[in-house]
Amino acid sequence: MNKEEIIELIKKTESPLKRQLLLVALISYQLRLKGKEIPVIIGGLALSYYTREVYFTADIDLAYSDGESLGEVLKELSFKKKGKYWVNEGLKAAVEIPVNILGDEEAPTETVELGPDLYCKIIGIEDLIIDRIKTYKDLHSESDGEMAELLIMRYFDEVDWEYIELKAVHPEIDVGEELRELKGKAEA
Amino acid sequence: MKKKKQKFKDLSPVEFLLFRDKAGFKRYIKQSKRGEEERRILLDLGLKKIKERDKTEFIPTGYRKRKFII
Repeated sequence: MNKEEIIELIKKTESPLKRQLLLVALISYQLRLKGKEIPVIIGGLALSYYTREVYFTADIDLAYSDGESLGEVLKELSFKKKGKYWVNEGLKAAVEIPVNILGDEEAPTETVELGPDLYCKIIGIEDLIIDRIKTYKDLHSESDGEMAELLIMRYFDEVDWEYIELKAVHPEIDVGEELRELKGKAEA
Repeated sequence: MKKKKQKFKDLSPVEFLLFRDKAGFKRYIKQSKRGEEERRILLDLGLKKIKERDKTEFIPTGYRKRKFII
């Protein structure tokens, strides 16, 4: 598939998650053509992916270190910078790059294939669970607590518990108690 | 009575996102707690939905690799 065909496919696709992942795959494809690394999907879109659209988000959050190259690709795809977002009205898409690197997130990322030589990368499930539990604790966000519990229920047998439990008690993260609480609920 | 079929409306979220950004609104945080029974029912429904879509649309192809059927 070439750029134009992917754009047509995005326009025809109804599922927001499919549209958003196709768009990130297109951005990643264009970056690869320039010999660059590809971004990692974080935040709400990562949650939308792992919950298979039980959760829904309107924007696309990416972590990427080379802002200049990403900006160049977004411009080539007719995105314009408006406030904190890069927006493409035609594709009804808003992209935000809130962090330039994945800081302490070290769990292996997930690769999603959307077509021949068309793929994107998503933050590892362990880091997403910790991220949601941190928001649950710090901002008293009940919805983030529910989403963390749902992720734990679904991926209980797949996650690296040693990594999560170690990261949860790191002094800067400090969500060990909340992790135990949600894990206990998921096991019940 | 005939059930009215609602037509799919492909609305853009862009305008709304830009408005929120300009107005300085942060992320919406839901802080009110659900009842335990309601929470359990919703989580079970969510889990069921994930498992259903996993079967048909998210096919594992390797370690941390999935094919998403478009």
